[in-house]
Amino acid sequence: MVITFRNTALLSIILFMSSLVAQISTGGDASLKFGESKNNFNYSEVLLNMNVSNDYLTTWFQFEFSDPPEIGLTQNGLRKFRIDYAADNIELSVGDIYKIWGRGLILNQFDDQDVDLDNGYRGLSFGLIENDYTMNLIAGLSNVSSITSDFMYGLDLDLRVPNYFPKHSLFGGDLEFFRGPFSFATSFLQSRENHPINAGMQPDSVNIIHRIHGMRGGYEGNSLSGYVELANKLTLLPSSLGSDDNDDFRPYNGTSLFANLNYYINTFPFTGWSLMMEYKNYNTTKINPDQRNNYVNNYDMNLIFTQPPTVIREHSSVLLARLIPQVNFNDEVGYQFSLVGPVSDLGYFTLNYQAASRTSLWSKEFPDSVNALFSSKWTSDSSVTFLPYSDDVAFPYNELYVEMEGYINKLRYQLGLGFTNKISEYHSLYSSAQNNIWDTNESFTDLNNNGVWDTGEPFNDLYSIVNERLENKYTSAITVPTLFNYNLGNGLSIDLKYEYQRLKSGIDYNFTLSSDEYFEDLDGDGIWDMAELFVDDNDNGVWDDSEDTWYDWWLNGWLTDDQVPDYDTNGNGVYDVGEQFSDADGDGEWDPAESFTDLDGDGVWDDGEILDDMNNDGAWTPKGTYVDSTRSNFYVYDGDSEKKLAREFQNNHMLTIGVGKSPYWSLSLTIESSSAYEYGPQPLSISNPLEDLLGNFMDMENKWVALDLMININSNTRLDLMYGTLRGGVICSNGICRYVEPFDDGFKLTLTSVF
Amino acid sequence: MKKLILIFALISPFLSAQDKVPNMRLKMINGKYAKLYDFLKDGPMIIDFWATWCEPCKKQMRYLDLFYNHFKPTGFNILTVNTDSPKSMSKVKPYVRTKGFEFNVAVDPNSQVKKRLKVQEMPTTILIDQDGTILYRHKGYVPGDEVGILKAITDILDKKGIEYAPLDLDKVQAIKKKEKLKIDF
Repeated sequence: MVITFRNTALLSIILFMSSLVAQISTGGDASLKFGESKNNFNYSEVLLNMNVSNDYLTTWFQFEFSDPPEIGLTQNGLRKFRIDYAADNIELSVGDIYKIWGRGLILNQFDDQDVDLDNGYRGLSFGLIENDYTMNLIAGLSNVSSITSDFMYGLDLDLRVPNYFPKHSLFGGDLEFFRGPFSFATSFLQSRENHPINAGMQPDSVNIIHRIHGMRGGYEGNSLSGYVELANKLTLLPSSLGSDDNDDFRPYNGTSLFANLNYYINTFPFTGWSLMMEYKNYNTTKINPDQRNNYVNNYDMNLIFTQPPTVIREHSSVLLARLIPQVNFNDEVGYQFSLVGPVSDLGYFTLNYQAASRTSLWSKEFPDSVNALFSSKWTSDSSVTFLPYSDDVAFPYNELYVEMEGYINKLRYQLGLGFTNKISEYHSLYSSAQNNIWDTNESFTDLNNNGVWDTGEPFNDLYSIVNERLENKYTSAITVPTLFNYNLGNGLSIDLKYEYQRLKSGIDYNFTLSSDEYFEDLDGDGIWDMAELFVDDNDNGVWDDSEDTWYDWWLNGWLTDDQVPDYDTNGNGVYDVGEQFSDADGDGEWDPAESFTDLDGDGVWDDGEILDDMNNDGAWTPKGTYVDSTRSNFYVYDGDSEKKLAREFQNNHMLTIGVGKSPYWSLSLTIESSSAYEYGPQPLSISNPLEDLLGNFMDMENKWVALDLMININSNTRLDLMYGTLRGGVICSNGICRYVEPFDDGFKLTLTSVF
Repeated sequence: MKKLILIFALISPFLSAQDKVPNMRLKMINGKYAKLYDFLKDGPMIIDFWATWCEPCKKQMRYLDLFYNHFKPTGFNILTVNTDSPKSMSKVKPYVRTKGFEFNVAVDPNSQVKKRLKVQEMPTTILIDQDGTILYRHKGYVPGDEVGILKAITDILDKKGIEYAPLDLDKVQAIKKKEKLKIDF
């Protein structure tokens, strides 16, 4: 590791300032992360924060030394810096700044390293704080990196390394007034975005302007508090980019609304209870189900510095947290209410219900029945909705969660129960075909002018047979998280955390034909006749009748009796191999007739009738729904064989047993198990000594085991060490979700220190 | 890189902690603004960082409320800083009201206060003397940690010669268990 001159100089400046300024305070903190696993999930990362401050000035420098980090880009050197000046009623900041206005419908900036989201800006901030109002002005540059498979380098995507780098130049202001229990604010923010796009084989970018205006108001009362925030977004695009006609590029100007109402009940017997209600209607753009997360091609939806409330409960249960959906801050409507209160002296009861969906229903246009242009166009209902939809195309989501937590003497308990349902993908595909039959609504050329279509008259054969294919990816689960903690005294305590989840996940299929598949009814029996099965002796792909011999010719009268001796070389009166024959397939050998299954009993082999097999099932299909099924995501192996047997449910268990000695250390063992595999690539399972040890007591198939040790070295320094295997999965933070790769047989070390 | 990590690992336990907290502007749960030193007018204080989704934080908060009510007459103060982001901020006030906590609550939805005070894990509890000097810092919570926090509080009160009624945690819990739940708004 080489500390560059630049970094050394910065450190020197910090120390120099420290020595110059009287009554200064210095300090910092550092964290060290190191991980190594058998599946190459390796990282080493040091983050160092340093502060120097006096009564008015505070400086902050953050250095990162990583190669590679746990997630994000490798960096060695200064990562962030800021100088803050704060007088009585003035605040001035220069450097890397993070601001939040209201609940974040316009601006909510943070540095969340868990999901590698840093949406702050580098620039200036000016704040004026008076008793009855505050004002904030900002200006600067925000470069927010992200990981997306929609950008042109998506094929080489590394789930730990960002590949997309838009740039925002921000300018805005916020003014907030206070009057008694009321507050009111208005905000404006403009972003000039340099937006990378897919342009042929080369990356390119376009310049876009986003303008957001907003207002918010709040009330803080004794038994009631409320909050409303409204933001309107306008996206301006260069005229060279085209117009709404291009479905892949549809700028949209819209509005976001968030509201929260809390009611605190003071009336017996519900004294101490509270009701929390939240509502969201984020309608700043409408994107069809195929494109909803594609912010590369949909230029107006990449405002990453707007992070409004998700209106979704954040769970401390690992299994429940995995089911939290990705919130679409551009297109989502939903609500949440939570009722919390004491139940006698047993503890506290919580009931939480939340529901959400996209703000509009979409449907695919049917194919062009005249020209058979397979349309990929989606159409949506532009009306405003106030409540979430339940239609699959709108990605409905809901969760009901109840919990009871409290103390029984020295035992703290927490019992939860969650019911989750969500649709996370929806696909709709259409294809069409002609039926070669004149139908009453089809135009024709009336050659004989008799006013009706007659056989042989040309007609416009519409593509009237439509094959509709609908698919949606569903998840539903029942989860039971529990937590028990017992204080043994003398600083010793034990923890037992057990979570159970019955998970159902898969894809629903529904395929429908608008009319019968067309076939050419050669024998006029009204039903499609498939080709009769035959044994293809010579592998030429067609049924071969026996090749003619001199004997056949004689039977047909093509040879006279006098000519027979010339062909019947051994004079036995029947055909023998080697005697003259017509070599139809040119293989030099006489081929007998290939055997066949005479389906219709006519004594001859029948070729199949021509079929327009729209659904490729190898058979004729009548109109109507021909597939209405569900495919589960889960399977188990049939004994020792490699044959996979589908399972409707996956039962997941997570058990953590821990013991701790305050304030020095704690040790915990976590075992996660799953009753079924998920379709898709399975990471190579590597057995480690910990699993070998536990394998003496239990079957280790489809289990993940990890041992965690925490040591408080002193009050400022803490060491966390993990050894084992972690199951991969989705983690969500601040409304952003990312997939975390499994961590197979390795160790993680985290050391944090404040100085 | 590995050398740097090794060096850091070796020296980190010997680094001394920052001595003073900055007089930061805080947004309180009622939407109003306050300065950190406003809470130090009458005596030392504890700042505690927590979130509604942090189970250890919740376990510790009942003791903080107990300490606040017990030592309030001495001028001792407790300020808890909630770090819920906007996605769960609406739950903060109902949680505090339902539990009947009486200590001061500030909100830090984008973790800027948390970073200024070098809080890396939650909960983190910091005891501050009246002049802003940091006297004690504790990361995380496992049952039993409340004993250490109580000792840190009584140590500073003793040092300053402030009289207070002794607090026996075991006895208080036994009494509370027998009491009917009473929440007064």
